[in-house]
Amino acid sequence: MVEWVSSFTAKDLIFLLKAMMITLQLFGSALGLGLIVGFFAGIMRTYPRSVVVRKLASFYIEFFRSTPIMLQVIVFYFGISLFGLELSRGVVAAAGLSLYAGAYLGEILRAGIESVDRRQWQAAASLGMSYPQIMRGVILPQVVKICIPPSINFLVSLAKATSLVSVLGYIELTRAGRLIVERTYQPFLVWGIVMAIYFLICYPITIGGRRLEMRFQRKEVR
Amino acid sequence: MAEMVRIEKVHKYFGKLHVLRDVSLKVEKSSVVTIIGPSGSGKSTLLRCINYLEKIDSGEIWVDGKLVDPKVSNIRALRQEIGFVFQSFNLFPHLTAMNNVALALRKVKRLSRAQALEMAEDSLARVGLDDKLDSYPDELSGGQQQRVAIARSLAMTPKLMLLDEITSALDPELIAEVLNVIQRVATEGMTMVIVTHEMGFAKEIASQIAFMCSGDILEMAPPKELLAQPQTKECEKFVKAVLQ
Repeated sequence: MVEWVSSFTAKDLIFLLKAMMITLQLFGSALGLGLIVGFFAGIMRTYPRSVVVRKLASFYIEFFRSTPIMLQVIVFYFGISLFGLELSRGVVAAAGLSLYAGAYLGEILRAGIESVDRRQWQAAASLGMSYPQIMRGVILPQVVKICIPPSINFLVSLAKATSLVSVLGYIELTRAGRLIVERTYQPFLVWGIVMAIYFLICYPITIGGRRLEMRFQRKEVR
Repeated sequence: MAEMVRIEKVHKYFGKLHVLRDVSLKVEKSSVVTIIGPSGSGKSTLLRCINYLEKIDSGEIWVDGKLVDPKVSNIRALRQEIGFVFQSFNLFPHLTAMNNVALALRKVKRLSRAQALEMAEDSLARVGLDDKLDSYPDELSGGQQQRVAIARSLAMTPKLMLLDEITSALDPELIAEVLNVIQRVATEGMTMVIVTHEMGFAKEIASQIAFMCSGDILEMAPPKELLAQPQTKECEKFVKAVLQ
């Protein structure tokens, strides 16, 4: 045995749990900001009165959906340093994930808005309602329900995608796991624990999503 | 006599399809005009142009002295005065009957919640649905849904009602309850333009029947006259076919 090999200890477990907190922070901020960005992206993507607004949102969504998140954060990280700005890796990672999430959630919202029958718009418009009034009072309440399942699906994969920003050298759960494996040579044990932690993060998202769905499905509950 | 609607030389294209060809029509206040004619003759399109759900390519449409053109008039203000009832009801599925009616009262007319709900209740009572206030659209029959849609339009106290084949999606036994409501609204003096396939109803309710064919109104006359002595071959053919 080489000297620097040491077995997995409680200290390593604490290290993993700390890394889990980092992963949760990344996920939390990407979720929060992503929902906000995604809301505006989805609204803009379907804005009936301006092609420019629609195109702008479309460009944003397609760009972030069609390039790897891993490269997005790298380019973002080095991009801002070109402008002489300096941001911590954590901030860059969270911002990158938020923009990535915003693109996907925006696209989900677009699909939801477009799935509402055109005649709903016409009925509301013929009552003299304005675009924002129709959006808020008629369209979005119907869309929320439609958007929950695909959003939950995406959020589960977002929680796992946080591991991809470790490319910045930012120590979140997956990278912490790799560091421990490299030292302990106990891949099965360490990755097993890491997987269990991911599961404990992701599964509640699914459960929460299902609860949310139930709340909006008044008909089935009745 | 005062006019509620004046349509002058209106043309409308859907791509290359010329759907309205030089249509002119006058509707006097408190009168009821029904538009009949074969499918695809442009009846619904004409109706939808009146409240700007469709844009015309040339000509002019005036409603109560206001030009239907966003460059000149406030279309939203105009639409508040024009009730539109659709073939497919188009109720808001996430709202109860009462809230379907109250929504625009609150958002557009800026009434308080309590006032809006009170008016909604009155309006639903007018169409005989005061026992269905808290029902969602999917809990109502087609006829009931269409009556909610009518109540929703009436609650805005429009000066003009446009009805677009409002019974075409209904089972035969539900048609009467909807037409009775419209009959009552007509007696109260509401100006209405009605596109319908119900010849009996068209005849009974209308002050004038307009016959539309291939994108133009070929003739317009009081019901008895038009049905007894059609002036054009197309109208004669159509009347014969539907009265059989």
